[in-house]
Amino acid sequence: MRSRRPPPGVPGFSRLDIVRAVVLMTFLVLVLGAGLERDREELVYPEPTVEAGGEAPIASEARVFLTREDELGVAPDFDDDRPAHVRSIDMYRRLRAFPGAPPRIPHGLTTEEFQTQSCNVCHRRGGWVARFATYAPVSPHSDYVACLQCHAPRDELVGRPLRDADTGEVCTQCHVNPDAASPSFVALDWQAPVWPATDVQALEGSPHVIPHTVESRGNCLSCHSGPGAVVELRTDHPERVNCRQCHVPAPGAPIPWPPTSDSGRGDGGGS
Amino acid sequence: MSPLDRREFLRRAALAAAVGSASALVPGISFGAEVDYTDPSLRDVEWRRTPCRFCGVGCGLLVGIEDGRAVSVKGDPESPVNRGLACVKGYHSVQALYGRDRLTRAKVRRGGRLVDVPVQEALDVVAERLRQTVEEHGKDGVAMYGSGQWTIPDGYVASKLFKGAIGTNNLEANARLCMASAVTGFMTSFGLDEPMGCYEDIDHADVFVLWGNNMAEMHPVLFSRMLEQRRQRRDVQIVDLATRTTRTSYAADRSLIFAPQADLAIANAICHEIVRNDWVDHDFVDHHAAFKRGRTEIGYGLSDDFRFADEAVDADWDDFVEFLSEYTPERVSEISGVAASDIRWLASLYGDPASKVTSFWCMGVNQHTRGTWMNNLIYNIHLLVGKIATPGNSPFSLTGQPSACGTVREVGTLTHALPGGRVSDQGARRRAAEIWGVPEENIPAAPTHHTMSMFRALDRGDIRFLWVQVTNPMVTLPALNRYRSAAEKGDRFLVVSEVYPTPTTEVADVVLPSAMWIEREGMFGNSERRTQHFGKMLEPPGEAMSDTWQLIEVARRLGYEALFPWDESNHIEQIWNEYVRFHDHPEHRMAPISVLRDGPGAMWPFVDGREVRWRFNTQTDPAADASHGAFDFYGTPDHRARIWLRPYEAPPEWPDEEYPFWLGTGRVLEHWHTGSMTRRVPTLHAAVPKAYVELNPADAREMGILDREVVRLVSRRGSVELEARLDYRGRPARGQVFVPFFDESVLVNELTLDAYCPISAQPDYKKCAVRVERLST
Repeated sequence: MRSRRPPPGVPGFSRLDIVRAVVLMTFLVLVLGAGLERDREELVYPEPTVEAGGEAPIASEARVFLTREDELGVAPDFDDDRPAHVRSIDMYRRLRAFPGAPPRIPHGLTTEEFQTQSCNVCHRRGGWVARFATYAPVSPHSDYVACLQCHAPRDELVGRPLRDADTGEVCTQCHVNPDAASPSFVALDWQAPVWPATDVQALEGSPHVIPHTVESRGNCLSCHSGPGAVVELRTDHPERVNCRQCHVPAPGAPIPWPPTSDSGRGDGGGS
Repeated sequence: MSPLDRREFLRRAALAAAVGSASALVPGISFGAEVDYTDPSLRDVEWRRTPCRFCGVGCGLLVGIEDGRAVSVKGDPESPVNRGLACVKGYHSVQALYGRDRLTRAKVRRGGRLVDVPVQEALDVVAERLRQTVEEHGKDGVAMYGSGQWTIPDGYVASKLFKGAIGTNNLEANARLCMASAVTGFMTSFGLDEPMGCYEDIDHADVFVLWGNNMAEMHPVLFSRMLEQRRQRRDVQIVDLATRTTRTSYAADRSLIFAPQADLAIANAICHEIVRNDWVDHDFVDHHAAFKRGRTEIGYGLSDDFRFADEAVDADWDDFVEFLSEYTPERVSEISGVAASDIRWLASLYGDPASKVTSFWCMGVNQHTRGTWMNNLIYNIHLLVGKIATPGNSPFSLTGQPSACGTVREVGTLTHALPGGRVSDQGARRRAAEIWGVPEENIPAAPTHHTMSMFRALDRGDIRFLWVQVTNPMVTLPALNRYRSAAEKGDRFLVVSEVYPTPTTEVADVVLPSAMWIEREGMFGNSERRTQHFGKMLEPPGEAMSDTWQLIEVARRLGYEALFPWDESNHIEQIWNEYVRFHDHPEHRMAPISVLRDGPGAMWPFVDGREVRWRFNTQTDPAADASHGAFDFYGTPDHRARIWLRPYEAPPEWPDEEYPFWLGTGRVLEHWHTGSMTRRVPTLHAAVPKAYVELNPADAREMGILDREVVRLVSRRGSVELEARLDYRGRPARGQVFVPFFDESVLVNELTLDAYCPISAQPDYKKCAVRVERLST
């Protein structure tokens, strides 16, 4: 059956339509007239992007000097006697499939948070979140706004935000086995690499090296200071904002650059 | 060793080494030199470059390899596609290699059961059955069905074997289900396939119009590039034009919801307003466009004997204006549900001479019974205002699969195609015969079956042998019940090359275990004409073998050793060097393999060591001849792009009293296609463990359906039971429901309709009629 076909033919104009059209056209003439006065912009043919560089900010450097004072909501020396939940390095690792993987979202989300990706309301500047009775971790790359592009929720927590922080559910929301099988899940034979040591120093007492890549993580203080930071990773001197004056990426460690070239012989694909 | 012990050990070892080496140089003073700073296991991680396995964006990834296993992923900062960012599928992609039920041995059906056999024995069975079927049922009794996830060498070898050696045009790919309308859109509007622009258009456009394209979930990295532009340049606008409210709608500046199929009318109404307000770039239209009219009332391909051929008739400006007169914003508002004022506003965005406009679309436009027309109509808009083939002015057809462009479209693994040409063109056949070293008459001039026709032929028995690689048709074909019963018929022989058990391997007679992605060497070609190479980084598990090599093994068993002479150690390079001869002209020249191996890919045409970023533009494309003016649309005989008079026509099935809802299907961000890979990744599986039906909350309230209540969805073709979700990822308009197709336990394609665009033969997965039933009341 094919009912409800769209109506055929062209409807005539009513008087109201004409009035509407005149008003709209006047409006368009005013608006677009302004547009027309602007010259057609000169078309730009930028240099090929095959060659890296140009004016884009360097990913690893872009956020280095974002500090708590101008960026973050909680002062580095913030002190509070509320019994806050403390993030541990163990939990930090369990939320990531491998060192450097985007963490899963461990907590419940309102439908609106899920649909509009309004994560930065809490995670841009940090601060106390009554819903979870804790301080929000601060994103080291809060200029990205499509958070769910990389950070996966857990389905059963979508649309089920915590409203009452006193219930036991606060624990089980985060403290679940991320691989807990749903009936249709097939086990994975995954061997994650060992997490890098966090306290490597060249000499006793010398500054710790940075054991991870700094791209998208250039704002050191977002993760290494404040009450939302993982307790094992907090610095005791957040007031010194030029972190990389003393702390350098570990040579040879996380991201050797450039990547191993694939040039030379292809190595086939047969059995 | 506990972590604490290990760290302590390391620290002491480091200290000792440092003190030792430094004090040897300057006694009495200690220096830190050659110190082991980090965990030894991490130090051994080797980072290698590859395009992502999943979607058509083609992000550059760096995969960390340690002790012969992939252990981590990061975005490649040097890739011009994604500049270091990936998405949740890309970041977790390598985990999909390690599902516990990975197919590592070949299987042959004996006594009704699939039993493990050595892979060489299974290849013998495949070759013997293929030979026997050709003898008994002729060349057109055998067929191959591949995919846009085939690497370029896979598709090339398949084409050479089936079209060149065996001599049948029974070669198709699942890209027919996803990109065919994009191809016929390009071919009819420009005479040449694939976008004229590139992703860099995002960095220049002022206005983005997304036509039925939930980019936030389906092309997330490009979506983020667009959001970044809006953050930096405050006047950038994003308009979401869709049938359903999604994550994309929330991020857009405006979201306009239209009734299914009404996009045809909206596009014409935009042209109507552009003409009425004289926003037309007359200079461009006079020099670079020609008007054409095609057939109308063209049908929907629902019967097995359906045939269609379009006829292009010349038209002129006056014909076009008269054609558009029907599409006033008011009338189109009635068809589409979009306010007339919003249609005028949309037209003004395209019409403003000071703004640069990029349109994006993908499955909403392509999976459409008038998909070719919709592609034509979007080009019409851009051609009318002359906003095309310059930075930021870009009608941009996005692809879904990693190598739909590279393999299916450029190699031409479709019934009517040859590498770089068409079977119906004698010149293309002659060139193929010469490069392949086969007699010209081996290659039949007439196309045989497009995908839907191929599976119908399998059902009828015209095709008896079908080899499927890298795709899962027993989940993805529309009106699935008919095609599954076809494959199950006793005298049909189905060979499936796969990496995991799927509903397709379940009905197979032979299952060949495939090497996946970076377990072999290959190339993908993405949406912006960029070819990207990946080396073999890992050993495939068990007896798994690359799809390319499986084809070569079978070809040799059939006696075609001379046509497939390549060394196993270097066959990918040898195949590439043979393949690129098909494209050795300035309109399509490919980069040499040395360039592909050394960098993050290269866009074709690759001429004199440079990529062509905007085709047809005489300033940027060496193949464009300046004697035609600023642009040269060299794909058509008159060097003009086509403006087509394509009307609104209704879809074949429309909701009624019995089946009152529109059903649309699609993907979700976390899963790739049928989920055979992503559902084995814990993070992705936990994010969306099962399929669901999304309802408008007001419709649900009327029926008394609660969130997560299990309901039954019924169409004329089948029914499924699944959870209802209200205000979850998206919100369909009233009278519509949406179901993702990644979940093999909820085969939503048993409901969909196998109606297709008569020009492209691509089915419409976005529109059929269903009813929603409560299981308990």
